[in-house]
Amino acid sequence: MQRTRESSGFRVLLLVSAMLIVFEGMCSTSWAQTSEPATTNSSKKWSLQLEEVDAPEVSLDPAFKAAIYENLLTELGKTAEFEQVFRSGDHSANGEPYLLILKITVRKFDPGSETKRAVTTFAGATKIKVESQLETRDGKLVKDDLVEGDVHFFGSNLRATHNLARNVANVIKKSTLPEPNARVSRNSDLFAPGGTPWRNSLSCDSDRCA
Amino acid sequence: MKHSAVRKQRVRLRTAFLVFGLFAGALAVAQNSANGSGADLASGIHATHVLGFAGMPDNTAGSLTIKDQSLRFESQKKTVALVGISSIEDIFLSRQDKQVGGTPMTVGKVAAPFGGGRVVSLFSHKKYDDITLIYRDKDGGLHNAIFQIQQGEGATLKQELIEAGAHVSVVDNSNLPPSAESKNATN
Repeated sequence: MQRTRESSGFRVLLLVSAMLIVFEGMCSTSWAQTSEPATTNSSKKWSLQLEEVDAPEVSLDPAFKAAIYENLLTELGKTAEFEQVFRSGDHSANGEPYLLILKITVRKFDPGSETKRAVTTFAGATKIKVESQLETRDGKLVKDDLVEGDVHFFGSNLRATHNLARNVANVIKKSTLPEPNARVSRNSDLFAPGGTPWRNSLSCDSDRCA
Repeated sequence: MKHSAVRKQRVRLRTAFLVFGLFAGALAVAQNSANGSGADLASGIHATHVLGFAGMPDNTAGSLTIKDQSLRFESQKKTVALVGISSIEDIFLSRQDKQVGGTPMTVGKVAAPFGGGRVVSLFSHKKYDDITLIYRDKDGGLHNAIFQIQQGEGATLKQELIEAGAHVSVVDNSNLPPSAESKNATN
């Protein structure tokens, strides 16, 4: 009887730990999933070219830069919001009529430590904050967001780049992009009164709908 | 009363065994992976493809070789991906400190009672070299690939790639602490 209780207690402990791991994966993106998705009925879609990740203000390990770039390409491809996602420097993007350019600038970086996280739970988080700027080919700003990605409990430091890429892709997916037909000429669609670009797509959507 | 004391003692004993088992396992894994010798690119060096190498799934274990002016990665399932060395535009080395044992070890550590898992975590970590390659495909598209290799092998691999014709912007590796081998060589 006692043995059965002990073993069932151990099973509960294992179950709780497995749930914790799953919860950690979910909580990093939950904030980005709260707004309602934007609908685009257009038959034409924008294509996207991702520029090289820039980090002028922070000292960033090249592996993190590389991981942000590659994870972004994967996650943006998964959204199915774009006709094609081109890499930086890809010549095939030159002939693309409806092309947006995504520029990522790292604004804040905390490398954290996987061992600290494993030992203390509350310390050692890896955090990355980036500015994500979506521009037209001639440099007009369409969207400007600050997006974060982090690892608080389980996983390697580089996993923060995966979470960040997923958040950037979610923010772009949830936002309303201008119709590809509008292109560059209809700047009134892209800019708020006063000529400033819409910042933070989640609130901008509701303003424009009102 | 006496019965519950025996039970408590039994639980403590089991906990001690569990923590000891995890600790011993972690040490064994860390030691096995630390026993590797220097890089030998003719026969291939053991590497884990973290991400970015075209045509290869992420987090794949395999071996890296330089052959016919190409850097070739062959996974343990015999899938091969390669890139021309002349198309490599930059190579960066960095060092990461990682917990060993993967998900099974993580679950075990979380499940260990009385914070035993945290003690194990103190010893179950290991340093790796991350080598980041920046290269362009035939359309000019920029690719970034990250490989994780044993500590100390990164510098050898980078040197071999430079000698084979890879381009680098920064030759200096002073950001990496010297490995045991290089320390011995200078003494």
